[in-house]
Amino acid sequence: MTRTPLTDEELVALATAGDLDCFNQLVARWERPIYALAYRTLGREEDARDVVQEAFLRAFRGLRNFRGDAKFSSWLYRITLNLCRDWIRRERRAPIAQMPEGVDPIEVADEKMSPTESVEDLVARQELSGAVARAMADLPEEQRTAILLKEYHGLTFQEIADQLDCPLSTVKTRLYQGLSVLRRRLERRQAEEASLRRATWEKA
Amino acid sequence: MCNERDRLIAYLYDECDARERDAVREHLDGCDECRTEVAGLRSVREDLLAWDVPAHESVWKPFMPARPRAWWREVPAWALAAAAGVVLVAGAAGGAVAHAFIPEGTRAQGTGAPVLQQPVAVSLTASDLDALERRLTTSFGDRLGAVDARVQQVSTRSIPVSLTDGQAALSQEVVELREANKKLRDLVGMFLNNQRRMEDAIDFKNTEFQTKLNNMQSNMQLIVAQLGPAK
Repeated sequence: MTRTPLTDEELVALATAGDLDCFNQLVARWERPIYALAYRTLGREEDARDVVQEAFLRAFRGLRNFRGDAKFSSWLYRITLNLCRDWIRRERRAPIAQMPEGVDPIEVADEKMSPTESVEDLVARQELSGAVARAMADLPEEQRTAILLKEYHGLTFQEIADQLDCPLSTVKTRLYQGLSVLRRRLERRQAEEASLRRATWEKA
Repeated sequence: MCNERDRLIAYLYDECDARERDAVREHLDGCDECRTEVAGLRSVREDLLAWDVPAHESVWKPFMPARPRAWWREVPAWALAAAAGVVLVAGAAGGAVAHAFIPEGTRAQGTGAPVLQQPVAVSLTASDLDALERRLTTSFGDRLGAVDARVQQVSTRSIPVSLTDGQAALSQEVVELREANKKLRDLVGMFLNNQRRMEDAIDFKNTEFQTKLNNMQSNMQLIVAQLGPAK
């Protein structure tokens, strides 16, 4: 017999009534996206871990104040974004784009290789991943957050506007500006790579 | 650029109604600049997909679930006392074994009735467990010895003259042995039951402690956050 899984909001109600395991289930459900958001915002694994832990602790402590008129995930995103903002302000620096600690791209490539992908493709994808991370880290915070929420978390324009407390049209503008900057960066990188390849080839 | 950014973005993310979508498509058909723009933005979006998040272990130490097995919280005190009485009576019937199941510190003085309303784990220490084990070994040892002696008796008895008599005597022995065996099994069952309850009590305390600890931790963190960074 299969039961339909409880919705987030049902789990919140049960957790508020004292069923701690329901809160564990909420964490299990949302830890990955929350970690991804924190990691892409802050750029460092250890900071992302701290933020995730703190975000869930705050959520747990604030469960009773959580009003049912918002989605649990929206509330969690907001807590996480606030923590990230505090963290950036406290550290007084822009997010950094770094390769995961102690990781060799080739090794990562080994692990992540899908059967149809060649090693060269994978290394190229890893490099692109790094380039995207660096380009995103250079964006102004409000553009970066809008793009993160849209591209990796699938929020609607309206949901992003609610998260960032700004009008709908501002969200669209930020997305547009952000994407345009990224486009220039990434196209330039491709051009540089192409000329580098040409140079090595001619030398050889 | 046709100053249509909002419309292009809505089109790009497919967050516009059908009529709006058609209108943008129509526009793109006639405007090279916007077509190139949309294609460029699409390719950026594809690039963004390459940005991986490194695999990570969960940072959350799950709360111990509050399990329905915490029976002493559901059962009224009088029922527990009655149950404890039953255990004692059963124990009396089977010898001093039941007595041995109740750790020293939790036995009520004077009445002789064990008090189980409080989780027994509260006063349970390693030495209590050792003592319990010793008492159980002695108790069970006696009973096992008795059964052993019986078996010896049966096996060393001289062969009866009449086969029927012998058979009758043997089946009588078998019946007695079965009964002894059943008693022993009941005792072991009681022991395991009690052990499970103790484990429950310990688990419950652990859960309670873990929850308190979590609360304290988050309180601390909130306080620290409110104090602000160290000067």
